[in-house]
Amino acid sequence: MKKLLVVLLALLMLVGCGQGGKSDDGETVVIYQNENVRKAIAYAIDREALAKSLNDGSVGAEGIIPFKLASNPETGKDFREDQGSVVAYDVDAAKGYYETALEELNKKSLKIDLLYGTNEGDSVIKAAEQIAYYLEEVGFEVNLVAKQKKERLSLLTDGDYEVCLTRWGPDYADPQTYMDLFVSTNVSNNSGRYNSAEYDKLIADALKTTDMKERWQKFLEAEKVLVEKDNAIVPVFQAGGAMIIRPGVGGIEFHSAAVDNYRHVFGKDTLTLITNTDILNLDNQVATDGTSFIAQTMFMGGLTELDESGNPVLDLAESYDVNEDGTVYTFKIRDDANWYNNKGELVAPITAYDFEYSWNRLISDELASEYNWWLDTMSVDSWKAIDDKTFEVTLSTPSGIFLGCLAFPSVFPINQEFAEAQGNQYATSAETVLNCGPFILDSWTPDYSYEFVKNPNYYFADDYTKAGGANKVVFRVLADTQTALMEYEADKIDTVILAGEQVDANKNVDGYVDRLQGYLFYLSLNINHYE
Amino acid sequence: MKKYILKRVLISLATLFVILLVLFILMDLMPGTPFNDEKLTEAQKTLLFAKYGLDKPVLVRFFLYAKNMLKGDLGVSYAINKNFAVSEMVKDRLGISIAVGAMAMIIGTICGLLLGILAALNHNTWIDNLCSAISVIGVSIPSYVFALLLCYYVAYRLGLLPILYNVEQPFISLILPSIALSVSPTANIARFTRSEMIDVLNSDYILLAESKGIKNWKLIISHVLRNTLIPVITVMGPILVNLLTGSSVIEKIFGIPGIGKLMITAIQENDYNVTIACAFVYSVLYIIVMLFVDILYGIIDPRIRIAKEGN
Amino acid sequence: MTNFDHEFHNDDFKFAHSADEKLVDKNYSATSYAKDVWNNFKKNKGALIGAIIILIIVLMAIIGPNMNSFTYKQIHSGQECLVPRIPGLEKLGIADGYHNGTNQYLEKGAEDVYYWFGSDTQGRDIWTRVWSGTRVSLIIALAAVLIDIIIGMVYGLISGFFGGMVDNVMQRFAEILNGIPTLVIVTLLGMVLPAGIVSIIFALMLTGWIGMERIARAQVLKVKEQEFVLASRTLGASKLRIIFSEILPNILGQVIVTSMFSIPNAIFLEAYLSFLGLGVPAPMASLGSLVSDGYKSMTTFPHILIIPVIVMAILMLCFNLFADGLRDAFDPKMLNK
Repeated sequence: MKKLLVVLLALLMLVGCGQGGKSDDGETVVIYQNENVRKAIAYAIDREALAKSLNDGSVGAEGIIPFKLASNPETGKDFREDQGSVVAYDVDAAKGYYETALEELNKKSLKIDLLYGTNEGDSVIKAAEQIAYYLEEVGFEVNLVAKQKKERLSLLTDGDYEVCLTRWGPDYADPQTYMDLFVSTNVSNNSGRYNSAEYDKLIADALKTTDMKERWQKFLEAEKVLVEKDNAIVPVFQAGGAMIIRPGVGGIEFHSAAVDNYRHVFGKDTLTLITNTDILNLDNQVATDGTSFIAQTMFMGGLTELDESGNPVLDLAESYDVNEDGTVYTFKIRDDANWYNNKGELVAPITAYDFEYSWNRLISDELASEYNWWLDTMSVDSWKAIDDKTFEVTLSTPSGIFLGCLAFPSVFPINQEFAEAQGNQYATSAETVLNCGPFILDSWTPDYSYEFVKNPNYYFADDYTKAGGANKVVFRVLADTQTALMEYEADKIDTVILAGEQVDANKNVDGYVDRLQGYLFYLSLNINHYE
Repeated sequence: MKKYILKRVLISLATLFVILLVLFILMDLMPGTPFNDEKLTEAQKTLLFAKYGLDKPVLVRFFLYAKNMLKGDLGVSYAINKNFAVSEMVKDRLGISIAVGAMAMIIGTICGLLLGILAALNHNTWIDNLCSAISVIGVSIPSYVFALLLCYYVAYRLGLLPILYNVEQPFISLILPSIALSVSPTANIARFTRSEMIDVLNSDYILLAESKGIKNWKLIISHVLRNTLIPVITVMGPILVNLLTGSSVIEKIFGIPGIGKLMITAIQENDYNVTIACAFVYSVLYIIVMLFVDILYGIIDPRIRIAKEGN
Repeated sequence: MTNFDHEFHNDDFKFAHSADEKLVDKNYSATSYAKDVWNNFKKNKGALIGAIIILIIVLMAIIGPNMNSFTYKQIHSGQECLVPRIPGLEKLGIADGYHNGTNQYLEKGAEDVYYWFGSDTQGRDIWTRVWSGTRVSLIIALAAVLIDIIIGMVYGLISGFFGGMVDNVMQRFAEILNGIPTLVIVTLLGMVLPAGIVSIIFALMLTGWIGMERIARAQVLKVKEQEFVLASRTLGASKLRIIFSEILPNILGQVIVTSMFSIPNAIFLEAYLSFLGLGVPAPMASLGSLVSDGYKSMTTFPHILIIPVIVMAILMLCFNLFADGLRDAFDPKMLNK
């Protein structure tokens, strides 16, 4: 049985693969090392039209750094405003580059295998089809290679592709989150194997310097080298997201480069919000997805949280001191910060040891957290609890993103005693996790809903009540956007996520919001690919 | 009969063992791993593989899994609800899927039998054609299109029934999904009933009964219906299991936390243990239903009973 | 002794069915089996209409995509989601490009463009996509069913003819494969195999042949003990000869009928795979992928969904009618009743 299956499958794969990867002659040609091929691709795509036709608030990319990601440390201007566009759409130029490339490579035509994911959203499929169309207009022969996400990513990391439509979601509000991807030493992410001494040096300099202005300049230059000069990657579009929020309901804070903050929702006593995916895990160091992080930010908290405009403000910490060269931070934890159980009963005060335990746990091999590099990103070198309420963190270099990164769920505290008492069951249900945020996780029915109730003992509870905050927040899991819209119109739910043509049809509805997400979609060109 | 049942059960167990092996091999052949993620480095992947024992050869994993399964341990989820016990995840969702499937099956059986009988009794008339057309349309349009039409007209426009599943009123909120799901079994059962019944109506023993002067309605109930229903039972088993496996789309539309949706997500996320568990649960259900139908068939139909005892 | 006071009347005995019906001796001339089947089939009007419509759809699948200047993957930015507009008919107020009271074509600056079935969410011509999708769906279904017939029939013939140990082993194998629910195996295979038509055909075939095998085997068991097989055997015919030239022709009818019923099934399974995103690779279209794409805009632009659904429904309806008629034609018992 096994043999038969394997033989059959192998045969089939041979048939499937036989069609691709043939070259005109036996010669080894490294296509994407040819500058004109890359330029032809870069100039062929009408990013504006493409983004518009996705119809979900997406915008055409102007570079690898998305809009509204980071702002100039001096002037506060957006990175994109400072840089302007480093990409261009020009079919005639693209055709010219294509002809030159053909001559240089001594070929009659060029064939591109364009890899993309089929279960990463409709906009990805649409975008891939459109890119293929634009490239064919220039003269390329395009073969769309559709793969499920996991397979696409494995092909990408193995370097087993030609051109791939891929994306990156920023982890923090700094160009570094994108720029790091393309340095030659980053074997995990630089799947196209872009290798430029000039780029590497610019990034290394930027990371070394303590002068924020110089750092900014280096990043600006680096982007120009990567995109405008070398065309090593081809930025395509920045994802958007459209939704309707019932008029009167507010307090949902969107952060394109961090976790959205739902802590301040107001407008109704009980709010019912729609989420299209369920919580993956309640454990803040096991979860890897936005939905879980949003939930964790509601019932838990960190040393800091992000305000409406994305700047860090203190949460569990009452105050902090920082030494002169900006490498040692000493946090004072609030006296009234406590752990509460599912019924709202006080369990224990939050101490510096909870942070120490949590951070040790984050990097342990035993847990094998997918975010175990987070502390490295923050340039954290070591940490220790001085006493019950004092937590000291030493950085390897001063970091402008450190305080903001503390608001990320992976570095939230965990109560050691409780977690170890629960053992394997820790964070598998609302009863087996502790709350320290403005809300208490009341219940979680996987794949159905999760509900929060206001924590009356939370230290900012009074301010929250004064601001008209909701007493109960229910998240209903619903993946289908059509039934969701009907439910919204029938007044059963208070928010709805729109997709495709629903966006156009509801643009003028009261409460329509379109937001830019941090995700930037780009074409990764496999420079080392040869036929 | 006992010997026959025992033999069938043994074969079923062997079948299940092979199915489990096939599922494992398919999982192994599946491209990508649960840990293909943009944010993961190679070192982390190795760590995760070691942690979950995925670095072992497939056969070793298979026997470990089979051994644990006997203890009721189906492993942990790698991606959907990481580190959660799969047995719990499946248990929570199986009940509701079976509920929707059973409701759809009841609706489908009643409507299907009525349509089929009506068509057969009025063979070659416009009623027959109408019933046939209804049943063919039933199998020609995907259930999700029906589901959305029901949502739009019955729930949204008229406001008669809730759209979304609601734990507090499970029965009311499962009516629409069950109806949407019952369209295809209705059609299948109607078609099968019709052709079986026409066969029976034309058979010699009915002619004999007719000529003996047995009254029309009595004839239909005690002779025609009984002999029509026996073969219909055999097709109901597979239809029921197809309902359970095919409900993922309906579950998505109505927001039902069922096992069909779980399996599809698991497959797309390469969550091996969850996929294997869901697929295996379906196979177990399928085999149990088939076994049950087979035995029931033997009990109802004396010809088969005698033939099997003879073996 | 018996007091028999019954008087006989003329109308005491009646014909069972109709008084007008007269029993006439028919003179049967020898006709070939195929001709018999054709004659029977012709009488069934529904089946005949079904067959004709199938032919028309097949014809459209061949020539439809080339009937206008669009190609199935040509994207027109700015001309998305246009409703149908057909020259001639538009003057009558049908298919005139009006949506919610405005002429979309004028609005989007496409006055002299005609999308007969409208355009989809990326500005592609639905007419071209529907017919090329029909072509793809038909190819997938026909190929899957053809392979089913070949594998299933050979398997069933061998299993049924040889019996004993061979039969036992082969049947257990089929039983195990049958133990895995179709949708599960099709979905898993859809994941494991590289995306493409060949893979879909393979996945559909792998589960489809068992039904065919069962029928073939049952028929063999019925036929193999009959006199003409015995006669052939005593005359010293080889086993292969008996299987293929004596038994095969006798079960062919039943197999053809079953395969006609499997075609709509295969189209439907392909549609299910499309809905899960495991269907034909983009920008290629199949009826299934068109329906699942259209589903996403059902409440805003229903024409994107309705047109492929109608084509699919008609195709399946006709295949069913055709198969029904064929079954009756092959089975003389079903006739005249």
